[in-house]
Amino acid sequence: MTETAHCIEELAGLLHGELALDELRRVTTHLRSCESCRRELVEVATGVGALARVERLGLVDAMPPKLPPLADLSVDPLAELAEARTRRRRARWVVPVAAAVVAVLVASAAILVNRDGSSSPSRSRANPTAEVALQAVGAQPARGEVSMSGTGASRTMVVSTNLPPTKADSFYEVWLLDTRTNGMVAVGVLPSSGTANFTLPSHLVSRYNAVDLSLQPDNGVPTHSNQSVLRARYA
Amino acid sequence: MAECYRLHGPMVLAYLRRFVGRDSAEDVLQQVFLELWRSRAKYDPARSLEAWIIGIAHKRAVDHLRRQARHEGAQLVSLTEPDLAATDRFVEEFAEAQVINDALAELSPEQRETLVLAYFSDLSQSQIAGRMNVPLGTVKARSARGLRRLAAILVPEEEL
Repeated sequence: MTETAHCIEELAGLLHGELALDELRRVTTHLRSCESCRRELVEVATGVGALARVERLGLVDAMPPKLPPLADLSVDPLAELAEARTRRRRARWVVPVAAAVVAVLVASAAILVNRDGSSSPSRSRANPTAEVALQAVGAQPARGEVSMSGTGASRTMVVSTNLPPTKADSFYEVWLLDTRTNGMVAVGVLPSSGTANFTLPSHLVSRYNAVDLSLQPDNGVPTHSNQSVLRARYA
Repeated sequence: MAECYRLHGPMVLAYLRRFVGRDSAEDVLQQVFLELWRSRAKYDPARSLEAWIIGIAHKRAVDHLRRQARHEGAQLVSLTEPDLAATDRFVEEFAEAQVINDALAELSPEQRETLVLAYFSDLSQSQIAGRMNVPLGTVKARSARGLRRLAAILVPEEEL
């Protein structure tokens, strides 16, 4: 660059500290006498300032935003469950909610109770439904079942168990678990009836592959107690 | 929900990365959106949606850190309710960065890549020339044009 030539292409280097001292002197000398390049300097400096702002905010990693997929919709957990169900044929735990309620009423065997009655038998039957058996973890003798139904954006998950009542200072909590990463998310508390309905986003059901029930101390700590009592893989 | 995730997921992910690190942020992100979905009836439209979302993200991040600390046998001393001023500030700052990013998206791919490498990856113009396999003069030209275009988008001429 000569002293009389415009220095527009050197301005970014100037502001970024990339010009050697002799180049810096030439560019500066030129800028002092060139109104056109000074105007360009204002614009280039504005662009540099904007980008530096993103860096100062500590948001470089977030720009441009790159999100992981919310769900792997190529895998439908219901289809997986249905396949497992076919393999197992219709086992003893394949019990619709209505039948469970009848069983409770008739036999007083408190196995399956619809907590809030929101999932009526007819509605459950209207959707594709699949079940897997909950297996005991450790010495816990209880058993149970997880059934899922529904299509589209949400799934209804019914958890039915014959878990014994907890003491007053503890409760059972239901989790979705990814057995590959041990990632988990709390779904909700299991009532004393041993059965509960949960409406969940389909993408979440797809993301995890197992249901875990834990015995939680009522101590206000919202994390898993590491005392799993029942577990079932559904994918 | 998918639309909410598309609109606000990047902000939540950026917030979570600050708290729980890159490795765990994506897992916690899923938990946050489950919580949002389950709590949607509790949202008060009088409040800022973004601040409400970040408040939930903060709580799930704290849950994650507590769980991690317990697994590692460590103690977490100061995990509190979200600082409302801090979450509001984060929402504003993220929106600001998003505006700048949107402006970047209007540049040509070559200009954008040059500026991203220079300012977000901290490469020199010579290094960028090597990386992109173009002459140094091309990098200088793309930088200058890209920055001027960026300025024109962010601060239109009459405001300069």
